[in-house]
Amino acid sequence: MTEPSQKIFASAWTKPNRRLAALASSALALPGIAGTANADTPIERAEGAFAFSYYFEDDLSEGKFLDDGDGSRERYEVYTYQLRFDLPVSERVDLGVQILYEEMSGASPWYVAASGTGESLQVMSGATIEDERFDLTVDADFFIDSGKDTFTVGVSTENDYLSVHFGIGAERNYNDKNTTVTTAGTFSYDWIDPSDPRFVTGARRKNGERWNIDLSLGVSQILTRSTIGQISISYKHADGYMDDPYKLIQNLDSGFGLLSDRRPSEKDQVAILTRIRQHVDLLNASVHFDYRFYADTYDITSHTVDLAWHQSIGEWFTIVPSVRYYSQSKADFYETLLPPGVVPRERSSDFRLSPYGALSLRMKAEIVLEDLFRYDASNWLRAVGVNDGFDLIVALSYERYLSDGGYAITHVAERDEAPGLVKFQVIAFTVSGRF
Amino acid sequence: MRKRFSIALAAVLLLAISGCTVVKPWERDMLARRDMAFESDVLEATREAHIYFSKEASMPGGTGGGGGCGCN
Repeated sequence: MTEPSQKIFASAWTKPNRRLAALASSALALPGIAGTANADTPIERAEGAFAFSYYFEDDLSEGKFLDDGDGSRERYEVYTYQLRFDLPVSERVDLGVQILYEEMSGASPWYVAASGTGESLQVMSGATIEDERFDLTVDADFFIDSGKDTFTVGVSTENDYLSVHFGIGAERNYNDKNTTVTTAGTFSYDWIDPSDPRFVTGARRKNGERWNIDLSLGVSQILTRSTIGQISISYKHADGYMDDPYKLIQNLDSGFGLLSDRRPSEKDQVAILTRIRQHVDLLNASVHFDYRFYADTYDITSHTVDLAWHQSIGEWFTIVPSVRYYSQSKADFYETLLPPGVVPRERSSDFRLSPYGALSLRMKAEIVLEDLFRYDASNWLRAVGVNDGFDLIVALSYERYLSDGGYAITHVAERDEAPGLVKFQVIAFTVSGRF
Repeated sequence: MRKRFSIALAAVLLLAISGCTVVKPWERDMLARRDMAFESDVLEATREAHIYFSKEASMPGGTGGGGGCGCN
């Protein structure tokens, strides 16, 4: 697929100086190791990055837990390993390969039960759930003078899940590269095959498929010499298996019987994302501000604000404290416990569909060492983008995430607050190199 | 309500773009800094988007697909 394009693009290309290319960057993209998915000029050197992260959830508090004999308060932990390579295939084509492998284990919220005192308590699965996820994404950028076109394919698998996706995107620069318009479309197909016998109930669906279409349109604009902004709108339509096969809901009307999780088989989602980057030259720092508005046909709306301060200390050290606030309303078919009356066709007690707010506190430290050492690369290494110098970036980050009904923007009624709301921590280590 | 919101959004966008002075390539030294990128670390962005997607009801926004079940 790449060869004809290489020939066409190579014929009209004059190799730019790397620093000039950086200064001439468009409104969308700026250079940086492991940031090449956003770059608007072809990379000249091969880049590689490896990341390891450990995600672990707090145990469910005793006061919200109902022990049915098999359940565990020990919630999920995930070990994630990521690898990414970006290679300059030709002077007009870049290729990116991203691989992810993760191991998950722990107990998961199963259903909410009414206690003898009328409280809503969380029943958990056993702590023996184990799963693995493997994800591979390949993207190719084809650059032209006024922008680039991107093609992406990917596959993601778990024990009970398979997803494949294919996407195309186009990016065009206008107004002396002060304005960049981006548009993209992604098509994905998911196959869900719930297999864990611990969750078997007579009403559970055996397996199913889902089709998804994502469309997005974005505009990035240089606002001043030190300010850049972006606004994008994304739309997604999903059709097919939307239930969570591992969740149940208790019916208060029929002897506290359990029913399977059922959701509308079609879903439309819209997200509007606004991002501002402001450099503060006096303090040698940059401020990042993101706001996202989200709405879907489940009647959920959400607001997300993300604020980060990138403080450079000296030439090679950066520290990034950040805070993220999130608030969502509930799905129209969400109930902690199904009230007496006619059993609705769609129902779920999934805490992720409940009304709540969440607060994340994060800290990241990053060391950037340019031209760490130099060497003589052989010709075959040069052919794959490995040159004579090596830049290194090492980053360590920590996140604390807390969620609660009381954190939501609007008042959450006691009967709607999910006892299984999650609190977690993430520790991540990344090492990236440009060769 | 939604129509009004769309009109307001379009107006803000147009005003923002038309009100900007053109910044020449040689004036973009601050904008070209690594800490001014919308996403300077792709692996971090992918990982965070997947965690929030798995634990919250909203989709990330922006572009791209894939990601996994998000169950549990």
